[in-house]
Amino acid sequence: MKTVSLAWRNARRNWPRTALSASAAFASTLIVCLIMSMESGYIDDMIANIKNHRTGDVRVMNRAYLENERVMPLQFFIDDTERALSTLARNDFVAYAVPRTPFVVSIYQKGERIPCRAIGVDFRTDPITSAKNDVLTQGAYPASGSAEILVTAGLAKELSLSVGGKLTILSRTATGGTNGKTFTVSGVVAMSDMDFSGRVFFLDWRTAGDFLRMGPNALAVNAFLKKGTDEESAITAIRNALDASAGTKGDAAFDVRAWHDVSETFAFLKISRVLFAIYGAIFYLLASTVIVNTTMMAVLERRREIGTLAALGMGKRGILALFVAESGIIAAIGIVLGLCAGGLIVGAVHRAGFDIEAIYGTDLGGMGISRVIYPSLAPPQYAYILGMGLMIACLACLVPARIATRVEPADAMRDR
Amino acid sequence: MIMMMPTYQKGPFEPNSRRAGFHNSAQRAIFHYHAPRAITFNCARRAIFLLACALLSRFAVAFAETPETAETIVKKLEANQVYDTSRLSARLTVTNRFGVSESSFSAYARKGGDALIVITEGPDRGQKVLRQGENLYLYYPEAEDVIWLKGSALKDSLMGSDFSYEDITDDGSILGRYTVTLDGTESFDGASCYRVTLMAKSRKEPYAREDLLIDGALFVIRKATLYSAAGKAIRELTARDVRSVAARNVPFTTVMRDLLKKDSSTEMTIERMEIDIPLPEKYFNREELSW
Repeated sequence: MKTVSLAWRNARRNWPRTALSASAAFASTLIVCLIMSMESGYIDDMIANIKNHRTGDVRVMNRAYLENERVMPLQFFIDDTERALSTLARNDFVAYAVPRTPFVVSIYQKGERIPCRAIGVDFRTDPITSAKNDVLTQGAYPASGSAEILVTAGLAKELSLSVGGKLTILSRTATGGTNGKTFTVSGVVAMSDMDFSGRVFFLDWRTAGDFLRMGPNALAVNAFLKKGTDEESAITAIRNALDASAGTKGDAAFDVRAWHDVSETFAFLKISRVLFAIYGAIFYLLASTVIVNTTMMAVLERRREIGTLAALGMGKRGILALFVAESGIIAAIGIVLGLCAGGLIVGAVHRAGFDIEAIYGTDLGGMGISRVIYPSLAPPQYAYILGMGLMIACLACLVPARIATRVEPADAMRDR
Repeated sequence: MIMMMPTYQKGPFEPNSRRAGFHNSAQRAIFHYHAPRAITFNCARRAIFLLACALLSRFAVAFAETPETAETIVKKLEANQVYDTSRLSARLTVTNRFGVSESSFSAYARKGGDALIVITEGPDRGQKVLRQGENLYLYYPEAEDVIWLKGSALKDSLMGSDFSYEDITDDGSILGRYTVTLDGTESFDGASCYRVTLMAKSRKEPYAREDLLIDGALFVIRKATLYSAAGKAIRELTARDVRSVAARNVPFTTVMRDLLKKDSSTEMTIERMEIDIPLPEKYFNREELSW
C-alpha cells in the first residue's frame, strides 16, 4: 500500500509526462473498444442471422439428404413433417419449431431463366423476416396454402415486381422431374441480412411442398430452444423423441445438429474472435512503448533518489514494484478514461446502428451480415480490455524497472 | 442423334422371321447335343456341324447384301427410323441410387423435326414438351407462361430420366449432321452389327461423337455410346425387343445409362406405336399447348 501511494505521488510529480503516457493508453483503449465492439456487433449479428435465417438453434434434417447434399436430393424431405413439428412442440427443451424448405428455382421471364433462391416457411411462426430492420415495404405475407410469394426488395427491384405481379418459376422436383408454376406477389420485404438482399423469395411451406412434389412436408425443421437450455442435452432429447415418434430408433433417420455445427461461418467467427484479441494486444503493445519511454525517463531522472531509497534499505523488489506500480497507475488512468469514452461512443453507435451498406455497398452478401450493425460491449469485455491493458503495460515496464533495481547507492550518490 | 422420334419413310427392311428361323435351327442343334443316349458320336458331330452352319448362315443372311460404305448403312438406318408422322405411347422407368420411379407419356412427331410429348401418368402428369426445330416449349398446367428453352437447356433431363429432351425429340437424321465411318462388324446381344462412328459436323449437335452398333439385318441401333466434346463417354444406349411396325423395325425397349452417374439408367418401353398416320396440326402449335 505504501508502494502504491509512493508510486501515485511520483506519478503526480510530472503531470504533463503522466498525462502524455496516459493519453497513449487512453487512445489505445478507445481504439480497442471500438474494434471489439464492432467485432461483437458483427458476430452477434451473424449468429442471429444464422439462427433465424438458416438453422434455428438446432436443425433437423433427413440424414439421407445430407449424405447426398451435393445433388440436392429433394426426395429426402422430413417425412410426416407435421408429426415432427408436434413432437418438437411437446419437447421440454424446445420453445418452438418451424418448417423450412430452401430450394433453388429458375424464374422464367421474357424467355430467360434467372436463377433464384426460394424458401418455404410458415409465416405464422417463422422468425425469418422478423429481424430489427426487416420491413414489409409493400403488401402482406402470403396466405397459408396460397400460390402467393413474398419477394425481397432486391428481387422486386431487379424484376420490377410489385404486389399483384406474377412470377413463373421452374424447379426440379422430389420425383426427379421438373415443375413450373405461376405465383402472385403478395408483398415485398426489405431484409436486413444482406444474403437476402438479392434474388430470394419466400412462400408458404405447404405450397412449396406441393410444388416440389413433396406433399405437406419440409426439407428441414428448425428448433428454437428455451433460454438457458443445455444444448447437448436438448439435441439428445430431440433426436430420441423424433426417432421414437417415427419408429426409426437405431436407424438414425434424422440428422440433428446445433447451429454452430451446421454453419461454416462459425469457424470463421471463432478465428475472428482470436484475431481481434490479437489486434487489441498489438494496440496495447504500441501504447506501452510510450509508457516504457516515460518510465525509462523517470528511472534516469531519479537515479539519485533510487540510490537514496536503496541506501535507506529499500530492496530491489521494492524498487521494481515502485516503478511497475507507477506505470500501472499511469496505464490505469488512460485505460479507465478510454473505457469510459469508448463506452459512451459504443453506446451511442449501438443506439444509432452502423450502416455498413452505406459504406461498403451491398457487396457483402454471402457473409451473412446485416445492412446495419449494432456494436456492443458486454461487461466481461470491458473487464477483459482493462485487464489486458494493465497486464501489457506492467509487463512492458519491467524492463526499465529492472534497470532501476541495478542502480548502486554509491554510484547514484556520486551521480555516475 | 438417338433417333427416338423417327419421321419419314424410305428403303427396305429385314423381316423378323429370318431371325426366328435361325434361332429354331440353333435350338434344334443344341437339343440334340443334350440327348446323348438318343444319338451316336456321328449325331453329335452332326449337331456341331449344324450349329456351325447355322452361325455361318446367320452372318450370310445378315451380310448377303452387305452395304459397302458407312453412308449406305446409315442411309438404310435412316430409312428405317425416320417417318412422315408417328404416334407412340411409352413408359419410362427411371432407376437410380435413390430408387425407381415410373411415368408414361405419349409422343407425336412429324417430318421436319416437330415433336410433342404429353406426360400421361406419373407425378408430372399433364406436362407437355413441344419441340420445333431448335426451340423447345414446356407447358406446365399451373404455369401461365409456356416456357421456351433453347441452347443448352435441350440437354436437360426429361422427367428426371437419363434421356434429355434432345434425345427424345431428335428426328433421327444423321448424314447431314455427322461424318460417318465404318469401323467393322461386331456381334451384340446375338445380332451381328456394323460398328459405325459418327463425328458431329457442328458443335450444336448434342453429342460430339457417337459409336453405334447398327443391326446388320434390321437396321436399328442396338447400342450407342455417346461422347461429349471433351471426348468423354457420357451416355450409353442399348435397344432390344425389335418389332415390326408398318413395315419398319422399331426397338420397343431402349435403355439409356448415364455414365457420369453411379447406378443410373432409364428404360423406355414403347407400349403402342403407329406410323404415318394423320396428326392434327394443333399438336405442333405452341399457342395450343393447353388443349
